[in-house]
Amino acid sequence: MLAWLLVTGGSTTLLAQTPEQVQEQSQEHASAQTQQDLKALMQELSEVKLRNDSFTERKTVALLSEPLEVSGTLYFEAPDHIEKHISTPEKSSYIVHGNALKIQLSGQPERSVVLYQYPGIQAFVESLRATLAGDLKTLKEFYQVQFQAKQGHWKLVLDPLTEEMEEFVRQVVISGEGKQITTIETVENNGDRSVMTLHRVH
Amino acid sequence: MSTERSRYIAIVSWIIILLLCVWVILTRMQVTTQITQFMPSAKTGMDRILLDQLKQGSVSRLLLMSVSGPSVALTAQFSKTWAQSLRDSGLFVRVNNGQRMQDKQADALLFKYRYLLSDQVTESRFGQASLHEIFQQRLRQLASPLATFDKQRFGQDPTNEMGNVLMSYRGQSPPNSQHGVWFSTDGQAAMVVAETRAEGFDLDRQEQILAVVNDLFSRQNVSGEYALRMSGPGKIAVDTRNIIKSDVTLLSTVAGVAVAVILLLAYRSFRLVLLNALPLITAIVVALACVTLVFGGIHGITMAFGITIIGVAIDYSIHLFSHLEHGSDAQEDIKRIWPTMRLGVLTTCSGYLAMLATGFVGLTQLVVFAVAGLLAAAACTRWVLPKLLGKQQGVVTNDILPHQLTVLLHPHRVIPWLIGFMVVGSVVYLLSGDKDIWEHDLAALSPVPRENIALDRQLRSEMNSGDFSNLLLVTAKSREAVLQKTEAMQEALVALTEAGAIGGFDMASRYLPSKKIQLARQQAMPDKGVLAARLDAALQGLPFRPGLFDKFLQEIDAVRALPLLTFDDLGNTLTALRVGSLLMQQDDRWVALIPLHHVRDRQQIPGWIGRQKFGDTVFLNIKDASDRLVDRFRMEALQRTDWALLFILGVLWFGLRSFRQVLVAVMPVVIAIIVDVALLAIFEVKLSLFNLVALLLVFGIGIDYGLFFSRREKNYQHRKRTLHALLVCATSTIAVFGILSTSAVPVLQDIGLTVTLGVLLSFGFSMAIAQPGDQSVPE
Repeated sequence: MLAWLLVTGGSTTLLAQTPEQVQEQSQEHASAQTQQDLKALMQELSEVKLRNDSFTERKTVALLSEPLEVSGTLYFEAPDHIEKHISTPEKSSYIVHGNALKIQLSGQPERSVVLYQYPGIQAFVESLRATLAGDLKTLKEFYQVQFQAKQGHWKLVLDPLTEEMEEFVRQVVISGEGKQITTIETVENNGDRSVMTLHRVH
Repeated sequence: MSTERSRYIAIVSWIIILLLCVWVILTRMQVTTQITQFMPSAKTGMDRILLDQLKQGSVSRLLLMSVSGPSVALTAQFSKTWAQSLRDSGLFVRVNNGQRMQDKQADALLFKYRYLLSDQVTESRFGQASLHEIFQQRLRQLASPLATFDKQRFGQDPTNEMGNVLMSYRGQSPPNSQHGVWFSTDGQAAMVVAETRAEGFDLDRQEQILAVVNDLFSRQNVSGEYALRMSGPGKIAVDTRNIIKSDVTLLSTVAGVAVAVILLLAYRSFRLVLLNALPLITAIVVALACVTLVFGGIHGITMAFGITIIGVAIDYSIHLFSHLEHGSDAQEDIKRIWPTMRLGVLTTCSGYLAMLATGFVGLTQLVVFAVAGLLAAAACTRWVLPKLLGKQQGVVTNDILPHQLTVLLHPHRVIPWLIGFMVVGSVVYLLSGDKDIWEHDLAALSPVPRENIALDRQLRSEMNSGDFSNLLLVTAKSREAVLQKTEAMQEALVALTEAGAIGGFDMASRYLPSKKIQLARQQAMPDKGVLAARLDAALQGLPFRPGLFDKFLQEIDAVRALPLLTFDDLGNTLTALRVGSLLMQQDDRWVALIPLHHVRDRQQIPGWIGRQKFGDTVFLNIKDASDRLVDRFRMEALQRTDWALLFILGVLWFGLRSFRQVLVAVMPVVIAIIVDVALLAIFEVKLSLFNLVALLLVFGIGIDYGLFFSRREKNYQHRKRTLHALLVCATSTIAVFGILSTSAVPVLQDIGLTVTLGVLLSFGFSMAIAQPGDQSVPE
């Protein structure tokens, strides 16, 4: 089963199909075991009510001749509060609480937006927030979710379902070990790519 | 022989006239339903803008739709599929439900002209220092998680002029949005705005479109969990037409049956009931033809209202029938009552004619309709009906008037006191307190049912569509001049907004800058070679990929040769609609509208304009101004009423030559109207122009009653016949207008109530007051 998924290249081929077809196939092929493992993982994730990680992010952007290195901290509080604080290259913060997104950029007044008015950003936020909260239902509202696991390492492959997200993002892959999320990889439609590595702060 | 011949001539010429009229109606008559054509014609420029605003609201081809469903997410999904099926129908120029792709055409245009539209464009913006600063800033922004969504055009538009343009374009509060589609302000219903290809006033096409829309909706709404609400000028007009149509059909059928029953009971002759319809039919046909000849067409409201007015025409034949004597020729019978009838018709017509000079197209049509109809009906009763009746079995008075009813000819002496009491009570009631009996709201003149107006308002407010209730009007000689003028005001308006006096403002030059400004921006663009050098310098030490800004360089160069953006370039975009609603031509002047949002204190705005020394700028509050407009039209109509009264008294004096007789004929109806108005005030019916016309109708009918009651008759039998005729007239009129007062169309409802009360009171008062004097002695 896993081999099949890897051979077909995961999302890229599946993307050409309608969500209904995908659903059918995953129902057919995905073993009940995988589904159960996914549910178990989400349950496990949902038990962590507070997270504080530091991160480094490497962004490969077509606009730039060299990758951009970003670092900072990621803070999560169940069920729906998440903060991304960037310290380099320049201080800035993005705080999501419920439906509100607060943006603090250095030297600028704080901006606040309502998430559901920006469905692309909303989908983007949920890829991380719903995963951290172990909220499979919300995750499935925005993404076609594929789950792979091997010896305690797991991987969630998220293919956008909403057109607002599809326009910009090809795929989000979240990997982890047990309850800890280790990397978040985002591939954009224009080929830009970001790999974010997380380390727990003790 | 000669009577036979004259009879023949009368009937044949009547038929010829009818046929001619029918021919005119069939070949030339166009029925308009556009409320704008019924409205008063505005004389001043300000009034015209005002009426345009009121008539259009926004644009006549818009259809506002709201879909509610079981959950927000499902409703959003429904909105997407549903909007797509509307687009595929090909009936709409555009269907907007908030999905981004809708604006792609407009986006491309704005992107092309971004350097001429952005207010950030100055010469220094493209200097080396400024560019370096911008690049550094953009570099930092790439670290943001949100960069994913806004870096696509960076290479082409590094200074983000498109962002600036969009920011000022979206300065107006956009509709609420969830899951990528528009939602109502309470977040419960998905909102869709569509613009039909068909004209808003093309009611047949609009009706077809609505049917298709409903059909598409129910096809998608298989589960039945979704609900659709629609509004918009076209939808309202179609609904109104259908309501009027079904209402008028139903009510006129019911009224026709009621009148037929009353007549059958009164005369016990089917033949008379049928003949009774002839003057009315003649009246309608002639009236329609006359209005068509004078105005080239007729308004739907004129037709509906006019037919109810000349429904009184059946009174004429009723008078004749009640006076038909056994064995005598109908031609002799009519001669006996003709002077009184003629006087009644002439006074009524002169009353209407006095209203002719109001600048109210609908009212003018109505007057022509009523006068032509009434004259035709009277002529038919005088010269055609008797010839058709000939010598026949007359109506036997003792038979048709139950003996008990003759008591009405001898009212108890306490009755005048009762009437006096009612009149004094009414006058005291009307004059006491701070009562406002007039309708000030222009919307009340519209035949649109109140629920439709309420729904329309609700959908508009849910759409968050622009607030046009407070406006600055700026005029100048040309489009360019007026754009420049508003641009010069912008700074002061921004200051006013920052001071909190207004919540914001909108102006056409925000979307379409004047040529002067566009040219200045164009000239601020550096030469390609110069810019390339500056770019190289500005990019020193920054990691941007080489060649990234090639397109930027090319486009800046192209902008220098770009023809300036004109209104025509905007084509069919939303921007064109917005500019069109903020900028309009009036004769040889151009007017720009600057809507002011959330004005804190209306009184202060005119003073502010004065202090700023803005020439040719006027502040207008739509509600105040439209109230004033309505009041002015009403004042005009009321002044005509004075004239109408004078006319009527003149005609009466000419006909009766007796002060006492004129007084006796006029007094009952005058006090009936006073009591009528007082009763309407008690029922909280505000008097609109239509009520005034209805009161005029009451006046005409009441004068008839007064004239006939006070008629000097040869004998008591004739008095009984007159009483019989008046009873039949009053009963049938009250039946017709009583039925009309149950209409769903507000205007018809108010008229129905006004006339029913008025006729009832006029009859009672005439009976009590309009005594012929010492002439009639009981047999």
